[in-house]
Amino acid sequence: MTMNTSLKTIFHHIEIADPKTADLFFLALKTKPEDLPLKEARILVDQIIRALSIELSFGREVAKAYAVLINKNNLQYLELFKHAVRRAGKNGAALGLLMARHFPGVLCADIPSMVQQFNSTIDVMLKKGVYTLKPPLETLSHIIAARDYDAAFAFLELLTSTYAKDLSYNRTIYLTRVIPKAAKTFSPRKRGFQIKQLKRVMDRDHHLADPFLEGMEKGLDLLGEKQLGHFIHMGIDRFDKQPDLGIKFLSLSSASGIDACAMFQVTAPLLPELPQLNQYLKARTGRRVSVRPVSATGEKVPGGSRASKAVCCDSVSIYLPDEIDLFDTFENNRSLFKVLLKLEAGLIEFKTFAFDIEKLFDFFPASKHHTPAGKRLKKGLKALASDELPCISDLEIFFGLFQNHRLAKDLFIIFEHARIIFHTKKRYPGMHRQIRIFHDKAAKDPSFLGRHQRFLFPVYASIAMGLNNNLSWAPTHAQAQRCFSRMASGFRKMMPVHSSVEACALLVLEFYDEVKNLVDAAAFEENERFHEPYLTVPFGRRLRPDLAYAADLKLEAASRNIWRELKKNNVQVYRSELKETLKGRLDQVTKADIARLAAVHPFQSKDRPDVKREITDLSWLGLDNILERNNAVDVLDNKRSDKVYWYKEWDLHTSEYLVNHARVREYKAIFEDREFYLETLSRYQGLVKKIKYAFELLKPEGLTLLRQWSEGDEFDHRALIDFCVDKKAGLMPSDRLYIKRIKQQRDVAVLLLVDVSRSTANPVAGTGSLVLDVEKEALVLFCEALTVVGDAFAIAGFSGTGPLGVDYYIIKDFHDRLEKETMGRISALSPKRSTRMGAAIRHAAHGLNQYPAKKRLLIIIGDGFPNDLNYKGLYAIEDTRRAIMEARAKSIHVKAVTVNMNADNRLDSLYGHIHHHVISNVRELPDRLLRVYSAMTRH
Amino acid sequence: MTNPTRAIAKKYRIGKEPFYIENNNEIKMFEAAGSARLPIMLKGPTGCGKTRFVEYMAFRLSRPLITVSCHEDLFASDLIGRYLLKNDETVWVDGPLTKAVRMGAICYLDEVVEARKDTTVVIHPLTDNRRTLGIDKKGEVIKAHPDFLLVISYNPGYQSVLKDLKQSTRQRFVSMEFDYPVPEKEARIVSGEGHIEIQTAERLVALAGKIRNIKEHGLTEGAGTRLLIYAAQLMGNGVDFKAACKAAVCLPLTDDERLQETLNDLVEDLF
Repeated sequence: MTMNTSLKTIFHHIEIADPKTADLFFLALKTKPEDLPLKEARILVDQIIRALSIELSFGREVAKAYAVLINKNNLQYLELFKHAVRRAGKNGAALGLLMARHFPGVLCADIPSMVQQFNSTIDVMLKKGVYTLKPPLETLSHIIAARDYDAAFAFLELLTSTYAKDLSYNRTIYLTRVIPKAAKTFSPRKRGFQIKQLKRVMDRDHHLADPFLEGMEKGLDLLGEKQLGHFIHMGIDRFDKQPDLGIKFLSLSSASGIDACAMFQVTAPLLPELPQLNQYLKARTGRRVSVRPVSATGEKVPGGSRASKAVCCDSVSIYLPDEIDLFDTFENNRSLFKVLLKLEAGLIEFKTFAFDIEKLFDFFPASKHHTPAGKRLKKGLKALASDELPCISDLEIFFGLFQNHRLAKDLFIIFEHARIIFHTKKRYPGMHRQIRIFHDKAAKDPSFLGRHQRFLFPVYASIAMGLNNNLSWAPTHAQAQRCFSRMASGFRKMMPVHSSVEACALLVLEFYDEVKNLVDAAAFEENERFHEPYLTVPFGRRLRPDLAYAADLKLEAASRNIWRELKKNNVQVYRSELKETLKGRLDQVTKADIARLAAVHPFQSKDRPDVKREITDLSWLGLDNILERNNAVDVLDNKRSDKVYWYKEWDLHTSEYLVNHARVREYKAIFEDREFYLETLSRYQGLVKKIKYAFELLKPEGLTLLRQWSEGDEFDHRALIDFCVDKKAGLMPSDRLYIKRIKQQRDVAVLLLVDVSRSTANPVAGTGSLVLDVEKEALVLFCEALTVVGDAFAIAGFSGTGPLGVDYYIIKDFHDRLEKETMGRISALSPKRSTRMGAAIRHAAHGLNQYPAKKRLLIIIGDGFPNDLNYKGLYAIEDTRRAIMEARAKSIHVKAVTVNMNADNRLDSLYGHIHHHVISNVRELPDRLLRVYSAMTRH
Repeated sequence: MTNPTRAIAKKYRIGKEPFYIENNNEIKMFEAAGSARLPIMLKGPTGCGKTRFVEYMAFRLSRPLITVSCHEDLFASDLIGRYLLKNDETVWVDGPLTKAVRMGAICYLDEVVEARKDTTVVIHPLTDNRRTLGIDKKGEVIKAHPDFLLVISYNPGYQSVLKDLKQSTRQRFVSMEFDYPVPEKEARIVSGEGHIEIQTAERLVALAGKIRNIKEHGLTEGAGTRLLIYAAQLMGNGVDFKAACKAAVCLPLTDDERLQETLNDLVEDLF
């Protein structure tokens, strides 16, 4: 940084005081501080040095803050800051440090009223003590850094009103921790009004903060501004009448609260819809494509305006908004996900990204090769053939051929979206109707289209949305009107003849110059409406060939290399077709495939004997080198132990199985003396007797004789006598004279899979025992009962950490007898780690499947939802659900008994609503487990 | 063939040519296996046309066809025959397999994995070069008629330990794999059998194609051609498209509600 000498001398003092501080100061200084009066400079250096003398970190923070404010070049701010820090410094380094760290941010926002509010808030908070400042100020800086000034203002007001209340010391500490944390987690788009509502409930009673925040976690965060306002109004109203009910209402712990929230909810979140959408997508396209939230593109979605959410797709993912609140009803918002998915899936199904410049050139009429469009295309082909081929998609190369490539892209989008609609209408009439409904809605509400009416929108509306031109946005410009109607009729003529993506590019070539002249002429008139961007597509849909290219990078490179190699040898194939083949064959392509593709290429299919040879004999082509095939050895280390198993896992985000993802290690559980077992038996002596009797009744009777059967293995003598008697008496004898023997077998094998995760160490209310103890008691009784009935049974426990550490403990195998060792294993069970349920169920199903029994049952005893490292929430539920479905496909009946929790709808989706039992009181488990079992296996 | 046998054989003949469109070269294969007297195993998913194919071949080769649908209580005696009382005497009545062996029919054991294990053993001597059937109760061993042909069908979808064919049984058969026909042919079949327009049939086939895409995602099996024909027949009798698809295709496939919703979405798209 160069600066004049006098300033340099002044700043040099900082270096003398502390070189590190000087470094920090100069590092943060981005502009030349030429306009800084020397007097000011001296004062601020003095202040830095004074702060350094109080405490090193304080001084450094002040230095950094000054650098930031000098960058801002506003003397008034410097003045304000100087006073604030001086005042704060008097109260000690801690306060000074906080002010130095957070005040510059507030000043830099350039909103005088906020500075005023900040000062008064600090005054109020200081009355409680300096200890209240740190977390709130950090959150404030976080909000200001996100430029969310409305929310920052609301947050300051919330702090003022909160700390002005009469609070106990403990309560103050609690709120200081909780409020800033919550404000930070609120969604940036909704933070402002959510903070306002938090203030509203706290103004009524500061104890309402907790239920409100609990409600936010449970679903209030999905409400829009108006709806949240209504909900809070109802909540406060209830609180005034009956405080208990109000609290339950706000925290969504009462049925009325949940109902009201559901009623007000209009925002549809994407996450719960994902499994359904993915299933649809897989069915529709039959490809490895999945739905992902827009936030997963890794790009910031700008602002919160209605049309700003980018919906796009590449060849492996379709990106949809994380949530939709465009419409006034939840159902409409939810349906919009499906409609957007259907529209975007069209790009994949109708092969937008298989665009091929070479193909386009072949379609392009030879007579027009000398027109500007023809010359343009030739340039594109040249770029494609050059050795320094840019790493971009063909579509991007195509747009690059135009001077105004933005305009070319917008034109292409118009025709391409229209082409998708054309195909959709032909192939999926029902879908076309659904899309039409939403397009009509978009047309009625211009706010979907962004703030400005875009120049090209009328033609988009006419051909891609199927709306007529009489609407309000029809161009007034007569020339534009004529051009647009020519575009529409050009498109309508083209589609029945040629409906591939290249046809749309042809149309762009045809109309670009005309539209460009219009745009240029309009820009000359300085009409804002005619400026870039020229088109806004409803619902924020975008075309991202770059994403599609990036998703298939490996494929693109491989296809390009093969294509180039072939071209050198005078064999031509379309690169897009090569890419599709590679994709279909999971990155492998054979010479036969290439020969097939080459045979249909127009270059070879003409009678050219000189090239025929190369097609039939492709021995010169080094495919292995190009595709970098290496016979990579299986990297999985399975041989180390024969008790290690690998299982797949369902990835919710990509809707694909992760092959060999979870490693299950199988152990024999350790055993100790069987004290617990025997103690349980003696404690439940009476119950054991009763159970044994009940299970005796389940025992089969062996062979069943079916008498008086019309066919069978031997005669039923009693029936024979009747037959003779009847005959003698002249009656018509019955022909039911046989005995049929059917062996009644109870061929049942059951596996009890017990969750022994950490959570089973929770105590059971009202007793001194743990959840696991009760589970163990249930196991003891279960063992006793099953021994009576004679069914084959096994018991296993599971726990673990992470996908590679799933532990599966065999407590009793099918062939083990119930003896000392097994009893000892049950007694020794202790809470372990987490629950990766999917892998454990897959392993249990694998074991059960090996056992030859007619009926196989798997009973899962757990105390909640699966939960492990990177295995939480919906992801874990979906994987477990899959594992259960796989087990059912192996004809294993899966039942679950969940203890110690309230019924939750998610359990239904996990196990299927008739297949699980929820026991709120774990002490019922032994009894319930046996009842479930006997009901399942009764004849 | 004696006269009464010929009379019985006539009853088992297929009178009218069944509607069948060849998918691969299964007709030639069957004819070759038939003339070499090799037993045949047809593998394939439910409702893809295995039974229809056998009927068609019986007609084409003009042989009687005896079909036995196997179930888990099917005993060997159900196939071979048993003594029954008639008037004052016990009379031996041939079971379907014995009948077929005697008259030189095609005996088709449908879904053979469902039958009891002992029944599969009975067919062993019939499926090798001996071509004999032993009737223990009568102490008789019948030599199979030269035209006799044993065909079994088997659905590999049931890949459970219990419902798998033993290797000793499997390795006695010439195996022919069936799958759903290619879309164009399937559309012709649905249109021909269900008596609906080819365009509607194409829609139905497109729907089935999409459902088969998610076979591994919760459905045990994809929608078979038979279901499509049912849907087509409902449509032919005045039921509207969506209701017919729901009743004949979606609901029979699964009980899972979420899967049902996806299936309904697919129907809504297409019609």
